[in-house]
Amino acid sequence: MGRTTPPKRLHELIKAPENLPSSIERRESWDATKPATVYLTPEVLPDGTPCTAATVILRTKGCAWWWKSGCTFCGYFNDVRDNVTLEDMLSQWSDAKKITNDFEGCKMVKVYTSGTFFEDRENPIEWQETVLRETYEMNLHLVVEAQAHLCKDDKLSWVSSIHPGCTVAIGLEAYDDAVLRFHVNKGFNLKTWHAAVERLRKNELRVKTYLMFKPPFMSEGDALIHSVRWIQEVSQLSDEVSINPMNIQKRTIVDRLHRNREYRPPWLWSLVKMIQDSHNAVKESGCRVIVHPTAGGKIRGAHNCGKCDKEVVAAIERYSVSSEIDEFSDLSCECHHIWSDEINSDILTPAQFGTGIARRGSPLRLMLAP
Amino acid sequence: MVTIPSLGRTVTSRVRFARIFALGDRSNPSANTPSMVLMDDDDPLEVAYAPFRMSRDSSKTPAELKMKTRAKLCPPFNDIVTWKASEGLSLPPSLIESDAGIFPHGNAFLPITAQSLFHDSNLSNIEFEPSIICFVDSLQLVNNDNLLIKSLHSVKRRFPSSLIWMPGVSGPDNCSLLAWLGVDLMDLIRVKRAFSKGIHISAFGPIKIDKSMNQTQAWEKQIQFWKDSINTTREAIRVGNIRRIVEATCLSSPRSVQRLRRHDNFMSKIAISDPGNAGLASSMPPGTVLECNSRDTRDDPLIRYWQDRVTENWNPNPHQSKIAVLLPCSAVKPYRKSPSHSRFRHAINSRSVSEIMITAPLGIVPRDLEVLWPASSYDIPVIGEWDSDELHTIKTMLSKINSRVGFEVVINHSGIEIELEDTVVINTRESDSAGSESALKRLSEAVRENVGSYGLKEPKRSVALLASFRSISRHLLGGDQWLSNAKITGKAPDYRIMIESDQIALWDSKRGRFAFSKAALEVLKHTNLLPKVELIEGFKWSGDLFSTNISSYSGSPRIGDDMLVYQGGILVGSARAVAPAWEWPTAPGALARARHRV
Repeated sequence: MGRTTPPKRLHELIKAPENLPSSIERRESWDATKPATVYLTPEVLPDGTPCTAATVILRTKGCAWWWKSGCTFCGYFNDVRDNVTLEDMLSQWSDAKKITNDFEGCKMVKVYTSGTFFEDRENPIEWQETVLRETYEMNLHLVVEAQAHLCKDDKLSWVSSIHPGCTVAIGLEAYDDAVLRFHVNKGFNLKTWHAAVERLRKNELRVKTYLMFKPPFMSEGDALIHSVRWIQEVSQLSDEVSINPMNIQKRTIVDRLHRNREYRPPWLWSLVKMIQDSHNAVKESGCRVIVHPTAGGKIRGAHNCGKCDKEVVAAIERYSVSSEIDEFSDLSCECHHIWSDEINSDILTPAQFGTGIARRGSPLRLMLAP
Repeated sequence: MVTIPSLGRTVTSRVRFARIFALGDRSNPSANTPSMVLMDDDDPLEVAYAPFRMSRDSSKTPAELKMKTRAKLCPPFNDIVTWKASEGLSLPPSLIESDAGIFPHGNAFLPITAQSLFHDSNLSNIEFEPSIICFVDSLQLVNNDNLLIKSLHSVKRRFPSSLIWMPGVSGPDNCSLLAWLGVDLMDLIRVKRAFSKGIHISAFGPIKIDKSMNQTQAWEKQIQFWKDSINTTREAIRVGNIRRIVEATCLSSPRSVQRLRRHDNFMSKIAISDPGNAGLASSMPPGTVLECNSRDTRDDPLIRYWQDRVTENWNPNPHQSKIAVLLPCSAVKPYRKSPSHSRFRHAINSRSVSEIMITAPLGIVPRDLEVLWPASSYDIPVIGEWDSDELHTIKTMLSKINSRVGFEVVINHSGIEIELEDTVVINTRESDSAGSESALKRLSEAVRENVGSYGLKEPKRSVALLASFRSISRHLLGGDQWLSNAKITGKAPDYRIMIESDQIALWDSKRGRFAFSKAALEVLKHTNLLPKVELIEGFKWSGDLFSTNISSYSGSPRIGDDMLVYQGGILVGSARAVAPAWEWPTAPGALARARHRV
C-alpha cells in the first residue's frame, strides 16, 4: 500500500497519550503532599517468616526512562508530575507513616516511586536518605524499585551503607532481548540486567525481578511458553521473581490495543499453567515466585469465563505466599478446555497476536464470523 | 544459487476476485482452491481439501514458520516441498503508522502484515511471485474492515498469482465471502475453537452441537460442514453465481454483511474509473444471469458501474434527442423479446424517440444498451412496488441524464411519478396498467403528437441501427470512431458491420459484444479503444497468451474485452481477455485467448 508520511517511532506512539487533555487533567488533579496509596498485605520475609508488609506508592516526578521514551504498557505517567518537590515527598512519606501509625505491625515496607528509588533526577537525595535510614532504624525490610541501567556501583554501595540488605526490584519484564526491545521498549538489555544483578550481589543487596506475563504484540500461547523459560532462567539469579500478568492501564498503548480488540489480558488458567510448569525449577533454585494478578477476574486484568475467576485468583494469591503447588489441585471449570484449545491454537497458528476471542458472553454470538 | 520450488497453479475459474486454482500438475491437479491449510495437530483430511500443512516454532522470537505441501504440487512434481519463513515481529493494525519491529519475511511462502504492507519496501522490490501469502495479523485485521479490504486489494494487485491465506478467520459460514474478497486458503482454527464451546459452524453460522452425537460424530459433522461449504463455493465460482451464495451466507453475521458492503463500496469506486481492476467482465457466456435477489445486490460494483456509466456517459442517438419514452422493464430479457415490450413498441411505432426502461437495480436501461451485460440478463424479485431506494436511484439517474441531455418531452409510461426540470413530462399511464389498451392508446397518441409537433423525421432503419451500434460501442469501448464509415447489414439479431465490402465485425447477440474480424484490427489500431498487449521479442505466438509470453500491456482489460496484440511495436493480431486487469500480467494460466493473427 505504501505510506505517504514518514513512519512514527514506537516510542512516539507510547508517548502520545501522555498529552491527551484527559491525562493532563488527571495529573493536575492530585495533591502532591499526599501519597497515591498506602495499603497492607500479607508477605514473607527473606528468611521465610510470614509478615505484614506496607506498600507506599508515592506521587513523584516519575521515571527517567519515561522522560526519554517509556515502556509500552506503562501507565504511570498518569500519576507523576514534574513539579513534585522535596517538601512534597517528605510530606507524603510522613503521611504514609501517619496512616500506618509508623508501620505498626509491619516487618516490611515497599516504597514505590513510579521509577528508580535511588535515581537523583527522579527523587531528591535527601528524601532517599530519609526513607533508607528511617526504615532501617524501624527494623523494616525495605523493598525499592530500580531500572537495571541505573543500578550503578557507587549508588548501590551508598544504599547498602544506609540500609544494608534491602531488596532492589528490577522490572526486567522478559528474559529475551528481542522482547525487551520490541514488545516492551524497556530501554536496557539482558547484559545490563546481568551486570546490575552482579553489582547488587556485590553490595549484598537482595535481588527481586519482575517479569511481565503476556506483553503486548504477543499471543497468549507464546507468552506461556516464553514466560516459563524466563522464570526458569531468572530464578537462578534472583531471590524473588514477581510475575505481573498484564493489566490494562488507562490511556496506554495496551489500552489502545485492547479497545481495538488487538490485545486481551491473559487467562488466569495461563498463570496457573505457568506456575505449574516452572514450579520444580524454581523450587530447586530456592527462589520465591510471586504472582499477583492485578485486577484479577476483571476484563481489564487477567480473567477467565467469569464463573471460576474468584476461585482461581485466590489460589494464585495463596501460592504466592505458600509456594505450594497443591493450591491448584482442586480447580476446575468448563472454560479450562476452551483456554487449552486457545493456547494450542496460538502456538501452532501463524498469528503473532494470537487467536483469542472474548471469554464472556453468549458462546453462539462469540462464534459468529469475525 | 538454490532455486526455491514454487507451487504449480493454474486459474481454472474466476468471478471478480474469487478464483479456483488447480494445484499441482496442470494435466492432473491434486487439489483445487478454495482449500485448507492444516495445522500440525490437525487430523489429516484428503489432499483435495487440504493440500498444505503448517508448522510453527514459537520457541524462537520471531517464530519460525514452515509450510509443507501434502502432495507433489511443485514442478517437476517429484517431491513434497517445505517452505520456510519468519513470522516477524509486527505491530498490530491499529499501530501501522510506525515501522517498528522486524518485518515478516519468506519466499515462496510469504508472511505479511498490514504494517509490513505499509512500510516494508522489500515487498515492492521482490522479483518473485510468492506461491502463498499469509496475513499473520488477520485475526486483528478483521476488526478494521477498511484496512483489511485495502490490504487484500493491494496484495491481489501486487501478487496476482499468489494464493492468499488469512489464518483463524474462516469457517463454513464465511468461506464464500472470503473467496469473494480474494482469500484462497482456509483452515480449521475457528471451527475447532467453536467445537470446544460445544458449537458447530455451519454454512449459515454457529449452531449448538446436537447432544445425541458423540465427540467423533460431532467432529465428523463439522468437517462435513466445511467440505460442503468448500464444494458449494467452488461450484459457485465455476458457474458464476458466487455473489448469490455470498449474500445468502453473510446474513449469519453482522460483521460479514458489513464487510461485504464495505467491499462493495470500495470496489465500486474502483469499478467506476477502472472496471478491469475491479474484476468486471464486459460480456458473459450465454445463459449467465445476474441474480439480484437480495437488497445488497444493488451495491454490487457491477450495478454501480452500470449506473454511473449510463448516468454520466450515455447519450441518445442524434435523431432521438428530443423525446424520451420511459417504459417499465419486463421479466424477459432483453426486454424487446417480451410480449409487453412488443406491445409498447407497436404503440410507439417510431424510431425518433429514445426508449428508456425503468428498472431495479440497474436504474435506467436505454433501449440500445439492453442487449449488453448485465442489462441483457438479470433477474429480480418483483412485488409490484418500488422501494424508496430504488425510486431514488431511478429519479437521480433520470434527472442527471436529462440535465445533461436536455430532452424536450418525456413521455412517462413507467408508472413512476417523475418530475424533470425544464422538461415537459406526459403521464400516459394515469392509473392504468402499462399494457392496458387505454394506456397504450395514450402512449401512442403522445408519441405521434410530439413527433409531429417537433417535426421529427423517421430515420431509415440502417441509420437507426448504425446509431444504435455506435451507442453500444461508446458504452462498451468508450468510443465509436471505428464505426464512422460503417454500415449495418444482415438480419437481426446478429447483424454484420461493414466498411465498404469488408466485414469488420459481427454483432454477437448471445454474448452482447462485437466479434471483430481481422479486417477491423487496422481500423481499431488507430482508435486507441482497445487494450494492448506486447509480446516478448522472438516469441512465436501460436495460442493463448500467458504471463510468460507478455512483455507489457496497456489499458485495463475486462473479461471478454478484445485486445490488440503487438510484437516489436507491430500489430500482429488480436486476443480476447479471459482474466481481468487486476490479474495482469502475472496471473497463472491463460490471460487471453488468441482471436486473429495478422
